[in-house]
Order: sequence, then C-alpha cells, then structure tokens
Amino acid sequence: MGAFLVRRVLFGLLVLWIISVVVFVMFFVAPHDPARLLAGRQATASEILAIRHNLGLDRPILEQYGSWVWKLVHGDLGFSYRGSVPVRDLLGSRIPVTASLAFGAAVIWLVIGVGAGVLAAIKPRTIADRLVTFFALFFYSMPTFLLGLFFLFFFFFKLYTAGFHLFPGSGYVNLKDDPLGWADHLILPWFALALVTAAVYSRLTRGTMLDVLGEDYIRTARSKGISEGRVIVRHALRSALTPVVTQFGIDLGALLGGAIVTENVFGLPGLGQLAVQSISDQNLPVIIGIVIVASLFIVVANMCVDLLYAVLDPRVRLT
Amino acid sequence: MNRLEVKDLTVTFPTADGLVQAVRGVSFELEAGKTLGIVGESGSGKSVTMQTIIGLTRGARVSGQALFEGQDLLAMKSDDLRHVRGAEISMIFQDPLSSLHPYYRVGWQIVEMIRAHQEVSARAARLRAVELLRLVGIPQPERRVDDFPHQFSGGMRQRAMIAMALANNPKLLIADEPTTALDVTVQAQIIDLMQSLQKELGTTIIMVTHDLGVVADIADKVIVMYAGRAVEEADRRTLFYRAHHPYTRGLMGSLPGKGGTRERLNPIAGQPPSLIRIPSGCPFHPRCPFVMDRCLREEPPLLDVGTEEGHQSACWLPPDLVGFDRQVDARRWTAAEADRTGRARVLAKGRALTAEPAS
Repeated sequence: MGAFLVRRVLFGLLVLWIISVVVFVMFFVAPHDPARLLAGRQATASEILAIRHNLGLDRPILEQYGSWVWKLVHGDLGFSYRGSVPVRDLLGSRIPVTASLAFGAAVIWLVIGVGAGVLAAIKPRTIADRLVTFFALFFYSMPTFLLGLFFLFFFFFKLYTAGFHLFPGSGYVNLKDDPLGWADHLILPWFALALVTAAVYSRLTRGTMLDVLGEDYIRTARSKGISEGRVIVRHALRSALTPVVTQFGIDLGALLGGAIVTENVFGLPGLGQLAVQSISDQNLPVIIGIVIVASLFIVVANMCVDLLYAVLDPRVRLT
Repeated sequence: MNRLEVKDLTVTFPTADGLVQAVRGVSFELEAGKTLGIVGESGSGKSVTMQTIIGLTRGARVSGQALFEGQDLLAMKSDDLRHVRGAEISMIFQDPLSSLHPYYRVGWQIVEMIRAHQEVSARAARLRAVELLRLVGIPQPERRVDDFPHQFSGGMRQRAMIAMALANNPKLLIADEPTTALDVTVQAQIIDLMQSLQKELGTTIIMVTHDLGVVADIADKVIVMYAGRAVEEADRRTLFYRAHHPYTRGLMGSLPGKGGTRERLNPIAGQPPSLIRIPSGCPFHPRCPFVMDRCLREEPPLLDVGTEEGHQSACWLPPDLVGFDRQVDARRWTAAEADRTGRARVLAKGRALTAEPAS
C-alpha cells in the first residue's frame, strides 16, 4: 500500500512534468516570437526587445524552462495582461465558483443517475425502465448549452416576466456571504450540467446492476431470506457502484478544470469562463495557469480513483 | 410425517423463443432426517425444481404444491416465504467463490444470515459465526472469520457456505451441486462433512447433483430427472444394482468403472433435448438404445417396476426388466447411434436389433 502510494504519486508528478514541458513548448518555444505576440501590434522594436529581455526570452531555452518551472512550483504563475493581477489570485478567486458548480452538479447527477439506473435495472423491460431509457436518451442527446438556454428561457425569463423572481439569470454569490443566494444562483446551472451527465450514469448503473443481479451471490443473498431492498442495496448496488465511482472520479476531476459551456451560459465567473476570455484576449499567463490547474485536478482525481478502487473492492491489491 | 412433499410441480418460463418447460410434473416425498438425491444432466430441471420450492425462480409460471411440514410453500406470500427461507430451509450452491459476496467478509455474511432471522446482538451473532466456522472445520476460526472469500481456498469457501446455511439450524438443507466446482479430494471432504453434520444436527438434506458417486455416498432415496420429469425413483441400492430406465442405466454406463485402463467410457449418445421443443412421446427416445414405436407416440407414466417397494420408472420396457450386465450393456451402448433424424436405432455388430421407427 505504502509503496503503491509512493509510486502512484511519482507517476502523477511525471505526468505533470510532461504537461509542463508540453505547455512550455507550446507557449514559449513554438511561436516564432512570443515577445512580439505579447507586445501587441503597435509596439516599437525597442519595446519588443525590452519585453523579450523581461521575459528572459533572450536566454537559452533550458534556462528559460528552468526558471519558469521554478516559479511554477512556487505558485508563481506570472501576471495577467489584464490589470496586471497575479494569475494565482485570479485562479484562486475563480476556483470556488467552479468547485461549487461541479460538486453541486455531481451530487445531483449521482442521485438521479444512479437512482434511475437502479430502478431501470430492478424492473427491466417495464414502463419504468423504458421511461428511464427515454429520458436518458433525451438528455444525453441534448447539448448543455441548449438545455441551459431552455432553463434560462422558462425558469428565468418566463417566470420573471410573469412576475415570479425565483431564479436569477446569471451571476454568482459567495457561499459564505449568502448560502441561500449561493444555491439560488446555482440551481439552474447545476441541473443543466447534471441532467446530461445523469443520463450517462443511469445507463452505466443500469448495465452494471443488471450484470450484478445475475451473479450467483445475489441468488445466495435472496436464499438467506433477507428483504429484497437489502438484496438490492447492500448486495447488488454495493458491487455495481465500483465502475460508477471510477467514472465519477474522472468526470469530477475533469469538471473542476472548468465547465466552459455551463459557466458561459449562466454567466458564472468560474475557471471555464476565464478560460474562454483569456483565449480570446490571448492572455497567455492565464491560459497557462488554467491548463496547469486543470491537469493537476485530473491527475489528482485519477490518483484518488485508484486508491478508492482498492477501498471498494477488497480483492484489489495495490502493488 | 414427511418433511417435504412435492406434488405435480410444473415450472415454465415464457421466453422470446417460446415456452421453456423446465419442470413438467414432478412429485416426491421426503422423510425428516433422510437424504434425497436428485440426479440428472444439465437442463434436466433439477436445480429449477429446488429453487422454485424456496421461491427463487423469478418470472416463472409455477403450478402444483410443495408442502413443507404441511404448509404449501408455493401458496405462501413472498414475505412469509422469506422467513422460511434461510431459517427453516437453506441452500448451498455449486460454485462457492461466485456464491459468496466478494466485497464482504465471510463472518459478515454469516452474521447477516443469523440476524435476518434471529433477534441477537451483533456480538452474539459474531460469536455464533466463529462457532459455526469451527463446526465446519475451518482452522483458526476466530481469525478467519474476518477474511474475505477470496482469501479462502475452494474447499474452505464451501465449508463457509455450509456454515452459513446451517446458521439458523434449518430443518431442510438443499445442496445444489455442492461439490461440482471442487477438486476430487475436497469433494469427498465436503460430503463427509455434510454426512457428519446431518448425523449431529438431524438435518434433512436434498442433494442435487449430476455425480452418481456423490449420490452413492450420501442418498437414502434417489430421483433421476430427464427433460423436466422424474424418470426413475428408487432407494440408492435398488437404483445402483437394479435400475430400470435406460437413461439411468446410461448414466451408470458412463461412469468410469474398476475395469482398469483398458475399459472405455460409454457416454450416452446425443444431447439433452431442448426444453422448448420436447420430443414427442418419451423425451428420451431420440437417445434411447431400446426405442420402440410406442415410445415415439406416448409418454410413459411413472409406474412401479421391479420387486423393491417404491421403485418407479417411466419407461415402456417390461416392468421386470431391471438391473444390467455392465459388459453386455456397454457393448450395446457403444453400438447405439442416433441417425440423422435424431431417432436412434440399436445396432449390434452393424445389425439393427429394433425395427426402424415409422416415419
């Protein structure tokens, strides 16, 4: 277990290092002159030279990379071109928004997706199963931005014009400042994001549940005379959850890097929105920061999934 | 009084391909403290019969009666049957690795069984689980009770299954091929264990198996099943020495004997029939070396044969034609072959002994 952890962390670090090299090459080496890119169109030759010197672009590449990584591991991601805010602070203010969105949506899609999947699996080929399949396909084929716009149209615009100010159309309130307002601002984005993913999870859960329900140990559980509910939850769902949890860790990790579409539709100031802005502004330090943070989340999430797998299934030996 | 009395049990499964007639009118009685062996190939309906009795067949159409101490299990509400299942009737299954939940400790699974039917504390249930593991011969049960099933060997897993099945002192233990997935040496240990536990606890046992050796060891009475019906029923001795039904004799003929290395096995030709399209007349006729015209038209009822009391067989052969000379029969069996239409002729040295079936 200990050796596994060490190796897994080292492997994670290796992945992060590779990502840092790729990012560095992409942003600093590949463009034929990053300084000109940064300086803008009206820059004079001497300005470009000054920028080049400031960024250290006139030094050898390895040295440049070394000092960039050195700063990176110390949390120094440079300054945003907009307002010269440190990228670290900028990301720090955006992460809680994205995290609120991601975790809230995750809870909803787990409950709905796993619940619907279990229901469909214990009553296969019934009305309930077909309804679940229908809604799963409906939401699965619905792009998030479309679902988000529908939500805004009906639950914000229609209600608002009818005099009900139930949900705000956009924006974000800090959880600490106003918990109710926080939830109110997030309910529509949560569901817009969660329903699409819940569709995937209901199919996944239904499939694994059906497999598990055919297992011999479920027959054993029934032969013990315990209640059917206990057979379903303690015996069948317990096994069926393993692949779901694996998928969940990866999805959540990816989502923490920013839910680009949802954040933009609902005007949430999260990482995803920042990413889109920064790309259109060519705000290099911020883009780099987001890429690094997003990959960090994914690497950590994968690591957690591996560890969780061993916790969930006692047959798995971490070696 | 009979512990279990099954009357005219019929089980069919509606499927997309048609109606699967898994069990077609099975009746038997079993006295308390005795062991019943049910023998047959895969798909003969023996497991379905047992699982139906304790309400584990889902989506099946069931008719008939299964009286357990006078109470019809098939007429019980599912919640009432649940309280019988695991408490008064328990079951062990073929493959102990896949039959135990891989994610839960062996002790936990036994404790769950105990607490499903008895109001005892978790502590008391755990002590009982340790005691049960000791009873079935698990070494260091205090320690092994916290093992997961995958940490047990095959034989130990089946011992643990037996411990679980006995947790609530059931009156009837149904063992569905309990030795099939085990090594031969371990098989013998498990059978010995079941026999000694039966002596100690007085449990009534139904042993479902395709292994005649197991039946020879343990059964008082034996039922041979084919295509969802009982085709022969007799006490163990009669069945082994004075069998009547050609299918039973075929099963005996396909056992390795003590004839040394030169003896060849004599399998029964052909395959067990599809339970969706069961052959006309006697379902065994396409594979039977003694097939007669009548066998194609009429299904023989289970009637008294031979001289022993309780010996019944469903075959049109004369009722006094029991027992067989292994050597002679072996030669006939190898000569028997199924022709293209699935009907069998008996050949001896290439000469037909029976008339061609009318087509």
